[in-house]
Amino acid sequence: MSAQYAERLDLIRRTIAMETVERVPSIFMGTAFAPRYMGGTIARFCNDMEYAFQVQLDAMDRLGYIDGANIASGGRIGPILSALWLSRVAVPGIELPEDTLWQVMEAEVMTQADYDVVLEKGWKAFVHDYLPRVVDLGLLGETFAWMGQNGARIQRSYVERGYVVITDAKMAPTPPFEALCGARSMQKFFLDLLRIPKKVEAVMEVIMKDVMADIEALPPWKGPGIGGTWVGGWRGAPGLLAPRHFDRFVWPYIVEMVCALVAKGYTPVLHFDQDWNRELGRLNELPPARCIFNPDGMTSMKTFREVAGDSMAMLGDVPSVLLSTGTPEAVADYTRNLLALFGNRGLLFAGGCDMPINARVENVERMLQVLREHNERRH
Amino acid sequence: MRVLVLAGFLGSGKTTVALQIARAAQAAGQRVALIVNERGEAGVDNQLVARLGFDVRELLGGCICCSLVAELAPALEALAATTRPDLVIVEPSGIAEPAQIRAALRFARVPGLDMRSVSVVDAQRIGELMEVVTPLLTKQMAHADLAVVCKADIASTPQTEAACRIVGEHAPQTDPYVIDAREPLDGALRMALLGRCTRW
Repeated sequence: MSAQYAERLDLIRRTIAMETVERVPSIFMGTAFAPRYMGGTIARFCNDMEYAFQVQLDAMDRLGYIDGANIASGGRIGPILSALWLSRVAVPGIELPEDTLWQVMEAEVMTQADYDVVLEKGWKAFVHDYLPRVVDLGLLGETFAWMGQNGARIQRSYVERGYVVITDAKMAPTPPFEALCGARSMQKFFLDLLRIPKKVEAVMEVIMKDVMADIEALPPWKGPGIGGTWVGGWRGAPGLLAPRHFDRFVWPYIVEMVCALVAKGYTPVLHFDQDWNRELGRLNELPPARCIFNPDGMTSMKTFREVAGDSMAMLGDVPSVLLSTGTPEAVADYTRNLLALFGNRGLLFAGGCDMPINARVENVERMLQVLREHNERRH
Repeated sequence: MRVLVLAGFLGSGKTTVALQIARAAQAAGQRVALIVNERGEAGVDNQLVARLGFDVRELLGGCICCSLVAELAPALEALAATTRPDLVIVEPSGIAEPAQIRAALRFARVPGLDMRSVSVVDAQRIGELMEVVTPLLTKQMAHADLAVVCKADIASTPQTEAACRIVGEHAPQTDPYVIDAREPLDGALRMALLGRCTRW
């Protein structure tokens, strides 16, 4: 472990712990950005597992002024997302043109009758039989085998190059709402909440039994690294869902999962896309200074700071649309305002959600330049 | 460039409405392009749309939450630089919000860009959907320049009336047009969408 890596790891840990730090860490979130930036195609990224791993590291080296990454890429993203989100994912180079982004297919795959199958057989047994509907099991198996064989090498590569990976723990528990909505589709699932709420709740309890057992089976996190685990929340975002449904079907499960992960020493990375403004106060219910809020540009950072800014660090949040369509000066203004809002406490600076495929290089560079100027002024 | 954004929940009839608007505009001698998120929701085959003579571009956006706003401005810029259509009809994802799209287009390098939004409401399902997806649907209607209540041919009269009441409550700035989107647009709606009027 180099001195540079150790310094960065310490800085990021103290930022997560809500200490005032000497400089704001810079985190790379740009899975889709990296391939084009390095002269490759998204199709190659999606289908060449080794390239998917190398290209992000090379992009980080080339950009410079980066302390770490949200995730370490590698493997085939299409099958991984299908297995996580229980939806079909169209992939460039296969179903889509070479240099476009992948696309989740929003369609009903799990039927209403499948709820009873889950209740009868259990969630894992159901998913085992369900997965062939959304993913090529051969590709998925190859992907997981490759990741198992190469996971340690990937992590070592990041450490050797001095980069801290935030979401470095192996588990990514999916809240029941996200799993069922991905499988049923928004069109169908949102009406299930209204038409068969008790059945949905019963199935969610079955899912949670497995999720909590998996968390319980995790070894306590003792490092090295952050112990970050991805906890997703976008389909159940408050910007979409009425309060009574959010209160019943989304939040209690997230709280239970997050508290269990924290109790084991892990750091939940709350990947909360869409608009979370209405429920930002809920973040105060989670263990303080132990989680990371990771939005996508649709939640007000001012409101976050006012309402929950003392509870947890924020990873982000320069909006995708600004990076892809804005001017360098607009990006610079946004970045300065974000840095002024947070100061040197609780900010893991990054693009929001994921830097988009079409982020303008001059905008990304300007964003990092402004961050550097901020950090050097404070020093 | 005039841009018409159709905002409505998944399955509300946006694609069908988009095609009717495109046909009407084409019949009026306008060059029309469509920008759609076909795969994000079950929608009309892009090849079919192209066979009908429309220039169609597809937006692809990762996960459903990415309502494709980051891709839209570049797509419009490309159209402005190449085919230069008179009208671009945009069918973003079913969770896109007009205000978000408008904000996203403020940097678009498209001369004379003039965006209007149409809220597309499903007469059969809006009552139920408003109980669940309240925040999203409220925003889609509140920021619309015009509202269309679809599927009037298959919804019951009470459903259609309820849908109009909901639109009236959340989009008081516009009177809804009640339509069967499989039929050509009537004159009043064609005028509101395509003709000279103070709103455009």
